[in-house]
Amino acid sequence: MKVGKIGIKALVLVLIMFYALAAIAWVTGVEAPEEEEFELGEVTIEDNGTELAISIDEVSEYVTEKIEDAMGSVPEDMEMFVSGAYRATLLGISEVWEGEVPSRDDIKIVSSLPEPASALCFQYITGTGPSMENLRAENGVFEIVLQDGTLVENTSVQHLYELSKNITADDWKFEISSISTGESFVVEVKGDVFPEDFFGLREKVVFGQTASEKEGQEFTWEWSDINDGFQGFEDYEIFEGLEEPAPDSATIVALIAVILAIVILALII
Amino acid sequence: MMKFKLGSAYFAILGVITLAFGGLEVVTGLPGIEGLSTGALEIPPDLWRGIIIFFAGAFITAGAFKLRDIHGLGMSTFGSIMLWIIAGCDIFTRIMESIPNGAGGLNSLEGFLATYGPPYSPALFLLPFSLVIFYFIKEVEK
Repeated sequence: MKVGKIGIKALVLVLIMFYALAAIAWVTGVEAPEEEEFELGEVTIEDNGTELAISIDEVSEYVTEKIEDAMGSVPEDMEMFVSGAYRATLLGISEVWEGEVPSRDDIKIVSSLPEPASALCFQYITGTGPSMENLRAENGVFEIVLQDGTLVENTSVQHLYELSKNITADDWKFEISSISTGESFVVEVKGDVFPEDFFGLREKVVFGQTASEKEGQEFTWEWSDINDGFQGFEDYEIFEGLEEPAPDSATIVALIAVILAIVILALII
Repeated sequence: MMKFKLGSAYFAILGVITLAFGGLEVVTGLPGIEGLSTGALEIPPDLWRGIIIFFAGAFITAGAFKLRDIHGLGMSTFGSIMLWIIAGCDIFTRIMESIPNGAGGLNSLEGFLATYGPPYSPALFLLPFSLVIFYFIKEVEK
């Protein structure tokens, strides 16, 4: 049998199957199940026996207030840092405590990112932030240790803001650990989450004051996209070392069977 | 002889309908105009697609009046092929969209079937009707 004829028959079969499927779908009115969208959960911890569900809005509000107090205004990309730190905390807690609610005084976070908004986010969760005396009964530990191993002792907003001038994608590493068990998990943001020119552009727009209007706009788009990713993408899409859920093997087998059936039918007819 | 007269009428009607749908796609493809949708039919707002379908209709209609002649039949066949290319792209798109679920995995059975559901583009409605051209190709071959 000529290959060309088999090809035509396979094409005819595909057409027949397409219209048969279209007729079934039309007549039955079948609708696609709604896609499960990622939902940004709350960081749940226990503070002296009381369960607290900390939302990103609550953290954002605190961070904004503290940065405004210290600097008079808020850098435009602050939200992105809060989202990244918040997501890292969510992942770290779920990996270390595996569904259990951790006690606030058992949480230790070591950040490699010398930046005020992310630091305040971690400080709020560990209860180590400024003016948190009335908001917590106990506190965990938060430290900033740079990539070269230097401990940043001055965690004031102004100082961290100055240090954040030279940050890169490699600095987005956070170690979340349980003080009691010593178990820890390093959350590392994937490098490709950030556009290639992002940190250069950030330095120019946020610190240099020499950026053109176009560059300013581009920076706004870029950090907004990153922020959307932090708030809406699955963990494996933004963090290193996590595997994408494997496709259902039964569906793959079914798909291969359908393709084989088309070829065999084309050979028989 | 009668077959060809009926065939001419059939392809003239098919050509005019194709031409009209092509025209509509061109109009909806113009800036500021939205796509049309009625029942299971959806006219996608795509200017270039519309131009191809419009000319497919024009060729089918022009060839329909001299279907017995090889040139007329060729013209209608050419118009039909243009239509098949557009419909083929639509079919290919649907097949490809029916396999993944949009979240990195494979689609569920419901999601797979729903991909083949309405709305359909005019090209998908017209494709089966245009396949009649094969009958006349065989007839002329005889």
